[in-house]
Amino acid sequence: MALLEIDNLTHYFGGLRAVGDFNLHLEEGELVGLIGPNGAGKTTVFNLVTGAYKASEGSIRLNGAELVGKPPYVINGMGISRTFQTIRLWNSMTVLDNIKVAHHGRVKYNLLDMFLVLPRYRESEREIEAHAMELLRLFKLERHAHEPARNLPYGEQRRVEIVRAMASQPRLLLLDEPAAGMNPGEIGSLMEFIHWIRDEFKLTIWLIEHQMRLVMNICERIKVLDFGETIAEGTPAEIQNDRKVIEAYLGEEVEGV
Amino acid sequence: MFADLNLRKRWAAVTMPLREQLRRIPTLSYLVGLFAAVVLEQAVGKDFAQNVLDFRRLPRFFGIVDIFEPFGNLDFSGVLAPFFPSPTGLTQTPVQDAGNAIGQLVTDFVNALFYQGPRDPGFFSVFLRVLVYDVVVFVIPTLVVALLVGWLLTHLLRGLPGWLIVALNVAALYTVVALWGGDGGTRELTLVYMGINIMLAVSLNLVNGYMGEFSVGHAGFMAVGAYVSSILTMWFFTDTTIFEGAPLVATDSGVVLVVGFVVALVAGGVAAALAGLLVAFPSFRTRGDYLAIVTLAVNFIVQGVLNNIEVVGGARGLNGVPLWSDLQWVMILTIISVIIIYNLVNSTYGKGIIAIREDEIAADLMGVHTRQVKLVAFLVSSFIAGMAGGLFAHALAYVNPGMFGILKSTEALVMVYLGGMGSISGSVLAAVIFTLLVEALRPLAILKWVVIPLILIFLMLFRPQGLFGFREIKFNLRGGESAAAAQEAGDGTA
Amino acid sequence: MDATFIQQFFNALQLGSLYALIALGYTMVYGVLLLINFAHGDIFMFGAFMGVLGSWVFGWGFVPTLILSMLATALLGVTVERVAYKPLRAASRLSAVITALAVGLLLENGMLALTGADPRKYPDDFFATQVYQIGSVSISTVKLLVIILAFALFVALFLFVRRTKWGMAMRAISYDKFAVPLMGVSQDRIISLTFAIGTGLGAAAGILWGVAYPASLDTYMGMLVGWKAFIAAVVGGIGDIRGAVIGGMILGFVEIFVPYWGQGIGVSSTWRDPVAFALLLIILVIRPTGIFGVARRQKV
Ligand SMILES: Nc1ncnc2c1ncn2[C@@H]1O[C@H](COP(=O)(O)OP(=O)(O)O)[C@@H](O)[C@H]1O
Ligand SMILES: [Mg+2]
Repeated sequence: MALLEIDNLTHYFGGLRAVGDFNLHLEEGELVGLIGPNGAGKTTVFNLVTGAYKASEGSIRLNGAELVGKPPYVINGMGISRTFQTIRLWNSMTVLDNIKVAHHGRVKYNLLDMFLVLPRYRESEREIEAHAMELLRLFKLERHAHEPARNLPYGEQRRVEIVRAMASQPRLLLLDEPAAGMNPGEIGSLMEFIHWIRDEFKLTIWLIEHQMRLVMNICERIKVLDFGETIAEGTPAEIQNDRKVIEAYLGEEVEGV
Repeated sequence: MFADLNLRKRWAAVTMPLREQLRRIPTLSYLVGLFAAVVLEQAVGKDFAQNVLDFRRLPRFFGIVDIFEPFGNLDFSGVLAPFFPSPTGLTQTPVQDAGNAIGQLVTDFVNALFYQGPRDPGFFSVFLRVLVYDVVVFVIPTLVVALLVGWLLTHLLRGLPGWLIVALNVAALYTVVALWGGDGGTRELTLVYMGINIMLAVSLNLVNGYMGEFSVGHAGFMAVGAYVSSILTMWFFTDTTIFEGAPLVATDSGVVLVVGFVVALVAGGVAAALAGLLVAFPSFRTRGDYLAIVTLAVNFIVQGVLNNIEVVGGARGLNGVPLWSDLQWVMILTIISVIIIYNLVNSTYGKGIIAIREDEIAADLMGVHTRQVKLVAFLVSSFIAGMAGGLFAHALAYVNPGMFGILKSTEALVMVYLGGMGSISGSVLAAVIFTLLVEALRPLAILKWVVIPLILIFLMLFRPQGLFGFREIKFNLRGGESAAAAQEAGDGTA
Repeated sequence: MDATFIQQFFNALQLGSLYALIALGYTMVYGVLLLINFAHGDIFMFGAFMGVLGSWVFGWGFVPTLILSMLATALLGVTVERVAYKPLRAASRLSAVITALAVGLLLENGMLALTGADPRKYPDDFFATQVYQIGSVSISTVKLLVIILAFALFVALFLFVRRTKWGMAMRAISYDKFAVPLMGVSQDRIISLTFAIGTGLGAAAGILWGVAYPASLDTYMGMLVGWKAFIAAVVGGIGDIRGAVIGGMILGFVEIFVPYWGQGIGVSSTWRDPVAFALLLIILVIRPTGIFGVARRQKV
């Protein structure tokens, strides 16, 4: 059984068929790309998988368990986490608090423990804080721990978002345009970074990206969407030579916004 | 202008070492200093006030309640009345009448400033004497004693665990306030209102400040708590014709009464929390302005329903609620409420509330059970408001639905935004200031409600974040130069 | 249908028209500024009081007094916007809402402080009432006046908003602030105009209210009425003119017919308010953005 199985996933916004008959099976440890012109429906697929929207039709299963209809926090707790196309940190909170809140699923105390600061509360808080700090250290962000998230430079904020996604110890990480707004140098290190995350945390990674250099270099498999429909699927080499893909991208003017 | 600037600089230079010193000593030394000042006041305050400063009685609440009294006689109503006459007040010469009224007003005002007779000193006189009284009896003794014990305390506190220091401070504050304010009279009543206001402001801040919603109906929850707890205490412990006549529990046992009051207050809080569900459930689907309307409607519904229940007196209200909310009760519950909210918003779980404010969708997707968190926030907030309502009823010995209208809700809002959203210490401070302001302005009658909105308007125009928006007042609990304390002091002057 | 029913129907129509007129002021301001103008109820009160000035002090008749009141109140509305709200346009929306609350308190209490608490009413000959008898139904000219004038104002406003450049700019501004300068009208002027119209309509409602319910003229008259009209605007879908009219009418009908039908089943008329609010609450829970409100779904 694959880690994630998506079958016949379809979603409508009113009359708009944003995603049509989407199928994908992700194996444990894979690094897969999802590309397509702006408005193709890529982010919508992520939103369906993470429970932000409820799929109109089709099925999404994680290790065989159905996800459609489950609320986002449950899906997150089951092991899927993500970043956003435009950064959605909790801006006025410190970086550390951003990471800590993403540990909500691991809170082991009840209100009474909390109001009375009982041992169970302190134990659980200590554990969460330690894990959050360890993540920040691993991602070399600890010196920003007590700064409000909004004070960080853009690139660092993107990294914090990834760390925050790691807080719930996901088995599948969804990255929505991680390279958006980065210069070529930064993209180079991002590629190493993504590889490192996968190996360090033994993760499966599925990413949306416009930067072809990144996708072609690191993804093992790529799926191409256009107007919600899958137009191609295969290895980077196959995709690069696919006529339909080239056509779809010729219509595209602005990249990576 | 330049001379003025120079003077200020020189003054600052001279006082620099002193201020430095004051900044270094731990908070506890100020409380010890205050304690000494309170003891001093009890020993010589009355003599000093009456014989030296020529007051008729002890200045009320540091004199704050006295200073605006001279303006109590001002009557503004003649200014526009000629233009908006009642059928009986019709006049042929409105402009002239208004002019006369204004003339009279100016005369009265000048008199109020300077002198209005031997028994009625003018504002300046009262103000100066109050100032002298406060400086001599409170400020100087407090600072001197604080400086004297500061060094010692810094050493004593060294090595103590943080929670113990906090507990010591709370205990000291409690002692000082109880000693100063437990007079069974106006001081105590004002402090009781203050505590209730702190509970209201802090609990509303949880929803409006930390969660970023806009609840405008907080008084509704207060009403539920007030009525439920009053009904219970009256029914069980008092001789009232409304509920069965004789008390169900005829006892003088202190323990039973204490337990009974606690149970009644908690029941009031629980009932208020249930009313909070009326807001919490709609909050799952809607937010912002629309949720604001829901809170408003709930406030009106609670009021309207109470107006219509004859058993609890309908619009006339409930008379004969036992007078049980003394300073001790209020202080203890206020401290507990503040601690509950503080612990909530500083826990990982409670920071989910802030995450909802900052970006609810992200919170949802990053594993925060947003519905549950919202539910907790609304329940805790309305529970505390309900307890505050219970205390309020038992402080006045009387409740009616009219007390818990939009005006009361607005008062809570004023405190939250005066103190600053998302700041517990700001809310506490604002509740203290607001309570004092209301007491100080009491002699002005209706003008009170002209002055308060004006203050609010200026606040929004010039300091929209409130006194401490999204920041907390930092206390130098351990003494010595802590970076935070120094920085905070710098912020304060900026 | 018996006579009392028809009579109650007209009572409801009258009350509903008045709520609708007030609700329009909330909804128009919200439409352009996304600001809940909590002071509007007190502006309505000010309009009613200008009627006292016109009728008693100037000795004017109904029509000139109405015009005076609408103009003076519009001036007040525009001034309040310029002085208190405009400086906060860049600040958080909440600051403006709190300010509006404060302005409302200031108006009602300031007016009370400056004019005293004596009960006021319009002169007896201010609007000469006649009662028409149609079958067993009697309808006063006051009721007809309120209903007809209110509807005339709705229609005028509707045409203005749909047909004129200014009206269209008003609607455009709520969608996109930056599009309006492109249409050749300044944003400030549109906002002032909106306040002028909204508060002018509130003033008309104030005078009509004073004529219809003579005992109600005091400085706090706008408090509860204002909150109710505001809730009506929200129920209709705040920002939408039709919504304000429908919301006001719903409220008017509930408030008249709850006691009317209630007395049959032993429900006292004082249940009117809680029932009305509960009903509005239910409508809001079912349709969180009101009847005509469009849900703006958040994109992820
Ligand atoms: N919440 C929504 N409501 C309505 N339409 C939406 C919503 N989210 C996305 N869409 C539409 O669905 C299509 C796909 O959007 P999206 O998934 O964001 O594209 P991509 O991420 O590939 O650029 C677009 O036409 C977009 O306008
Ligand atoms: Mg996208």
